[in-house]
Amino acid sequence: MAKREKIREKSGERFKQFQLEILIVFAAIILIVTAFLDYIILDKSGRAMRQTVSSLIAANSRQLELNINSYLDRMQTVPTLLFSDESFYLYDATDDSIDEYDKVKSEEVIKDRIVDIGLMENYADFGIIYADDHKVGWISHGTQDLFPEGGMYDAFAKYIVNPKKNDGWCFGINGNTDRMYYIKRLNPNAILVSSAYTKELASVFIYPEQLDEMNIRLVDSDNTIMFSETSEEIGEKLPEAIANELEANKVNAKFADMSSSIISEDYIINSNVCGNDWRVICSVPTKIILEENLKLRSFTLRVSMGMAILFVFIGLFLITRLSRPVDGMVTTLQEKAEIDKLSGVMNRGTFQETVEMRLQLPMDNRIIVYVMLDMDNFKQVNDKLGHSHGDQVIIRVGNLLRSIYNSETIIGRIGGDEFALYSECIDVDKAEVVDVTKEQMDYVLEQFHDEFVIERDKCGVSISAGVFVTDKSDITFKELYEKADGALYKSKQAGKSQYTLIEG
Amino acid sequence: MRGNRRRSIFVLFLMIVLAVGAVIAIIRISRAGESGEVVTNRQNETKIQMSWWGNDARHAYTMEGVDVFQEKNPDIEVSYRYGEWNGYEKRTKVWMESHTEADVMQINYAWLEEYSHDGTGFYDLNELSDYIDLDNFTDEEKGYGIKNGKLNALPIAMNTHTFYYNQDLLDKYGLEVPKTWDDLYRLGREAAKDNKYAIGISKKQLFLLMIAYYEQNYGKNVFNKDGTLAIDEDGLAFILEFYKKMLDEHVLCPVDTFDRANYMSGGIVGTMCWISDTKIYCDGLAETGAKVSRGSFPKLTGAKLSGWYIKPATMWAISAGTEHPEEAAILLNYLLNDPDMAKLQQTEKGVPVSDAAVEALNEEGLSKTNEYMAVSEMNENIDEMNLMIPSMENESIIDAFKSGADEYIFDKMTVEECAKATCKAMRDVIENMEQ
Repeated sequence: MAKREKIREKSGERFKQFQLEILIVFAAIILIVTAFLDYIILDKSGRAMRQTVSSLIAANSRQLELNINSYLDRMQTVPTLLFSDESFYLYDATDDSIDEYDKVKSEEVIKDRIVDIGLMENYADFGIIYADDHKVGWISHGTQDLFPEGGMYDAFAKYIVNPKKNDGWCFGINGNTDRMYYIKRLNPNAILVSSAYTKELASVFIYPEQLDEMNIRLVDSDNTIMFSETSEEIGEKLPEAIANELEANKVNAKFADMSSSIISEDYIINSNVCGNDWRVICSVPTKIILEENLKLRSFTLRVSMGMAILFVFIGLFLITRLSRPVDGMVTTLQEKAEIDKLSGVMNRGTFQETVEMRLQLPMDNRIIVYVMLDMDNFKQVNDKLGHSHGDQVIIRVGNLLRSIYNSETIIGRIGGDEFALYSECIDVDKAEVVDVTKEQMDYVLEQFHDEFVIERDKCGVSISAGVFVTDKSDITFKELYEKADGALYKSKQAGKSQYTLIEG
Repeated sequence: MRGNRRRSIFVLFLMIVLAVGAVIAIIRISRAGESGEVVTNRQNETKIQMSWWGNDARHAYTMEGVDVFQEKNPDIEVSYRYGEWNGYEKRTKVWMESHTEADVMQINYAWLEEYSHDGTGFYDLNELSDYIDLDNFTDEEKGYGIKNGKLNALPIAMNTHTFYYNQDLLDKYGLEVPKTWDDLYRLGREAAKDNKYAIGISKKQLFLLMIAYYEQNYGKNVFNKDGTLAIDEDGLAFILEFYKKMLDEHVLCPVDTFDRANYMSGGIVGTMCWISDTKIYCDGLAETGAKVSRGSFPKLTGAKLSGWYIKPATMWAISAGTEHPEEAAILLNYLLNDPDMAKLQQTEKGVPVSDAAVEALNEEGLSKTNEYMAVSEMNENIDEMNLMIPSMENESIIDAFKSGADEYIFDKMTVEECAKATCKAMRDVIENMEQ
């Protein structure tokens, strides 16, 4: 009965395990499908978000471009007011034919004009430099100190690159990075130089709501940073990663110098070209944009996992509730399938399957004892005492074997009157196992002899056995069977009611 | 059976609750930010403006100082206007007359009289004493900024003239640092041999130097205390002749061609400047490798007046029409008394008046600076110095003098004609100002 109970338990466990596996697989499918859908949806929303943010940055960058253009236009427009009267722009301080008094008076007039037109701007410099480096107006000490050896006029004049307007911009002259210069030619020997501190651009580069780690920079045509909110960057080159992205995407643009928006794995970059070829570059690491998206993704995955786990628990509960009747039915059916109904031990198929499973388990120092028992003259019982008695004998043999061997020994009925036993010992000397097995076999034969007195007297019933003891680790069921069967044959040949033990 | 049924109903109920909860959560997530929900809220800062004039160094440290102020006071946003001194008075006039002046203004001492004769042209700082630590100033120091009983401005530093000479050139000519007018002429004669000049100065310094020479010689003031002209045409002719002589004898470099670069490169031996310009003319020359010596204000033996004046270097004031007096006062207090600002400013405007600023600078070796030594000399001679009359610094009066003087210097008029015309021009300017 204990064996039957154990088999019932075992079959129930297997069924539950099967149900759990189904449930887990199903939950995993739900999780994977949810995760996949999440990935698709969130990836799509991430792309849309990047696109939207890029568009917003582009719109704001365009505004910054307009701001800087307006600022630069103002710086360019004010000097043109010097062209309102010839006395301002045609005066040539290098002309030796002009009387000294006239020079003083002319320069006073020009100085007054410069003061008047430059009154409302924050200029660092606003003055005229003549070909001999003579200056009129506000040419600051800072600018003069950049040219300790002279040559100020020539140094600035070379930045006049616009042939139509006769003007130009420069930044970083002689290593100076705190101001940007605008230069305009007044006459062949005079240029107007005005400058403003790049710090002034802070009031131009106002970004309404700025993203974390977003950088707004103004760079000249050499990618030298003229303005950045990180003031230490001013005068440095644009970070390589951003410059490379811009360079790499140049080929994709219809025009290399046009304003463009770039969305790459690392950055969202917006480059806007100003009126004088300087560029406003807004860049923000893509990960910052997707941070919220990633948080949402993580949240959704957690929710999906939670739901999957919840589903498993609810499923388990429901299965438990719904499958109890089915469970009992399945257990009974399984028992019927695995247990020989007469002897109460395993049927042949189950026995073989169980033994093969044990043999597949990798074990060191294992001694296997395989016994085959065959009743002698059992046919006489059926013939003389009837099949019903024969069945009773089989039942009694099963009971006898189960009472002799403990639960560690696998017992099976492998034929009409044939039984097989499988047991294993670990870390025991083989000789010792052989000795114990012999004692056991003697005991089995003795118990058999005592049990079946009537049957022996009337029908000559006894029992023969073949025992195979082996320490081979890679032995198969077939080999075991054949060896034990060979030993059984020897017992039969030797006169029955005995056992033969062979080692392998 | 009944127990099982209850349990099933409970499980069903639980599942419905979970499902409804999930649907509500999804709807809430999907609708976040919609339907007029406030997602950001930005508090507006109080915007104030400040203005100053000066050189590159002043622009740089003042802008840096504003950054520090804004870090300390994130609720106050400060924008600024600045420019060089030349033309700045005109700029200030435009702002003051159009009532568009900055909330906090660096002002010249002379502007107190010009824009706040009755004390109403600037905010009364006494009313903002909760925000400005006035204890850092003595009554005498505060007195420079009081007009009609109202504290219109506070001085940043006290200022007077000082002289700096290229000692290497003096050594070359075998001369001592000039102490008298004769010493200057002697230096001019030596410098002329190298086509150099004894001193180079700006238009305003020229005017003040001429005043000093006249007052030492005549024992009379050029201006009355009310700013009107005290000098007559004869006195002005005396000044014009002296001016021409100085030019002719290479004592003075022509004002129109005076260039700091020429002084730095050794084309001019010395200069007269404000103590507050020491960084530019003394430290600047020393940085070229030249040895620099400080000179004394030239004196005439037996003079009844020294002709040497003192004034607050520059002052901070608050616009009378400011819409944010408290915030402006916080900024003004920072500019005058904050140790961080004092350390940024150093002695660029001269030795500070504020005790708190002096204390901050003492930690950084204030007593070793050239400005400190110049101020020490000023304090030693304080008894013979007078408080500057605002007209002495008035750019229009100075322009009238310079423009008139040019007619004589360039031989377009006789000295008498020029003195008469110049005197009239100067009086006209003063009368216009009074009107």
